[in-house]
Amino acid sequence: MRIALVGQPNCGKSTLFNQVAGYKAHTGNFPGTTVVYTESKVRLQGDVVDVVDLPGTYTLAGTNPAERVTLRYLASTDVDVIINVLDATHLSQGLDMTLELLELQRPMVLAVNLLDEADRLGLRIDGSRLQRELGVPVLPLVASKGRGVRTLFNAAFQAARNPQPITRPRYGRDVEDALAGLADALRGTPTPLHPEATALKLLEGDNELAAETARAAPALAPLAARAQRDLAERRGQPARWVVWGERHGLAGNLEHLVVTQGERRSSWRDRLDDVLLHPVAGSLALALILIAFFQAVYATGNAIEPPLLALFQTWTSRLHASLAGKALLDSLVIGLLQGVAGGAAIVMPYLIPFLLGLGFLEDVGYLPRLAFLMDALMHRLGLHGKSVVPFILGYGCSVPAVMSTRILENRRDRFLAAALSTLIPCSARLVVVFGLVAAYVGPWAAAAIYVLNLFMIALTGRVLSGMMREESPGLIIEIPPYRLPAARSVLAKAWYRVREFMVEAWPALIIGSLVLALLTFFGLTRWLDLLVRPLTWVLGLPAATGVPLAFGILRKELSLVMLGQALGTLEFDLALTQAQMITFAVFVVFYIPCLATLVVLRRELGWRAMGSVAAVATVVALVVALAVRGGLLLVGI
Amino acid sequence: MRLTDARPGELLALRSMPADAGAEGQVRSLGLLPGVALRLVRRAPFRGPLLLEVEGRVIALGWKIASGLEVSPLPAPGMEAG
Repeated sequence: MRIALVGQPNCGKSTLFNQVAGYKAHTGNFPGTTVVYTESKVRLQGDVVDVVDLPGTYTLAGTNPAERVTLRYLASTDVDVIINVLDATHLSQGLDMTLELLELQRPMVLAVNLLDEADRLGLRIDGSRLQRELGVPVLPLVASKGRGVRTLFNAAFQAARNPQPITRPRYGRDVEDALAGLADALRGTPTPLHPEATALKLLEGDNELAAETARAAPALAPLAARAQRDLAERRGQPARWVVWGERHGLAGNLEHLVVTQGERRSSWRDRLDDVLLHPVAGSLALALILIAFFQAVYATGNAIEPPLLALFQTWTSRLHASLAGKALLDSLVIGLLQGVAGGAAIVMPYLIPFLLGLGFLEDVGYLPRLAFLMDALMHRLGLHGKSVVPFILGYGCSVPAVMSTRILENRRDRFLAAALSTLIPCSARLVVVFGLVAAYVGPWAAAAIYVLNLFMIALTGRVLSGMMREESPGLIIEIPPYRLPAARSVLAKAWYRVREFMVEAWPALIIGSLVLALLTFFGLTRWLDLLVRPLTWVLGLPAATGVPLAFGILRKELSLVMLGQALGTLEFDLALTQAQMITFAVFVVFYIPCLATLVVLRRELGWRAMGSVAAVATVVALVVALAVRGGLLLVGI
Repeated sequence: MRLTDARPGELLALRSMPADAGAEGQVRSLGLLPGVALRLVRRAPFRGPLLLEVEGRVIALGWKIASGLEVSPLPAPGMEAG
């Protein structure tokens, strides 16, 4: 049996999922899309059932891939029962989608969630009245505290076992007439949804569905077009507006019937936005929050990284000793161990606190506010407020940054945000900037590199968005109320993302490490230096920097270690001038993202986009590094 | 008038939808439909986004979309009685 959780964003659907799902829950993509679902096996009344958490959608209108996929999935026989989670504090909006779900005429249970919050707002909800009006079971829920979870799933189980007939909502006479006509014409044609639901979607102008049914029944297209035209003429507005308006009206009426407004207890949450969204105070708060966030991440990472690295170092030397005489095996084993250590000791100590903090900010509801505050600024890069999330993630690691571009609506925005966020110096590149430039030239020089980086990102953003004419509609986002996050939900989210890194990026890191070990073993690095020589020559760097630069693609955080190996010393000022250190660091900051990032770029956006991002990064890196070299010559450093 | 011409605190009725089909769908999914009442809560400086309250839900709309939406003022609640 499979139970699907459906609901609008911020309704607490995923919190509910995390209450029942085990750590073995897995995320997957619907075939051919980037739409992600999470699934887990759950024990229920002696049976093992599959629970699927579908992406939060506001409607099933098919305006974005998530809505299209959700609609099809729910209509299919893959799903035995739908649990529709509603936010009790915004009942009419949630009911809007509930009515759309009823049109599918599939077994369904309603869960009215966030009752604690509704209570604080003085809202009383008459669940049994709602159940009578809709004809499906309605259950109370406080998912964050686990209240009502068991009863809800038992009810869903029952609804799947003994499916009750579902009555779809009734619209105005003219809409119903149009529907009846279309449903008649559909008779005998195989339709992806219930015939009446298909007819309604056709009237609403769902283009994809229209194209699909037109293939099966060519006579239908002109009929649907005429029905739309007739309805539009009669009502004086497009047919889809008529249907949306009617459904919205029905939902509003239902809310009137079942919700009574009592006394509202005012709370800190109501006044917080006066400060946090204020043009001046809000920006100040934003800076403080982000500084505190990154400070916490770096402090945690810094505390964990050295002892872990030391541990791996002891293992490495022990293995090295026991493998004496078996040179090739020794190189390979050490290479493998270094790849594992790179993930475990260098990436994880920063990634885990970063994701926990991000999950917290997400669940509190701060990220949409961040998008609001940053919208005007991001517009200068040709993007909008939501794309600030990949940028912030980029300072931790480019891999989650690229993954997070999924939140953006269209491909152009996703590409642009991915390309720009990989230019942001991740924590691995931070090692180079700090270990080389801050340590040997001075902190001011390191800070200057960061400022230069921001400037170049802005410039690249302008150039790229100028080249991609197609414009995005801009920021359209709900600002949810502040909520105290449930620890379980924050932990689960961080875990899913860490696992994604382990599956997607870590293997690439290990393979890169092995390749590096092999090349070193067979003495091929000298050839590589020669191959990269044109580049190092142009940048005025010693030939020996070729290997660390080339291998920075495989393992960015190793650039500094490899530089030490290549130069034969870790006292960098003995082998490099200050200008060379700065040029090297600048180039490393900008050029091709690491292999793990490239793998994720390919998966998220395809081969071509991956190639373009790598090309853009290399061109920018070369131009900036040359300009910096020239500039340093001019001022005589 | 256009939504971007409204003053913070003003109660308005939405009269049009975005011309772009994708944006229309997104705006509609957040409960913005022709005829729906909304309140302009605040606006960010430098042509930043607008914050709206629509049936108890708070929504941020970028300047570009907001400037394409027609609204008409509604009487403030409490004034209707007179």
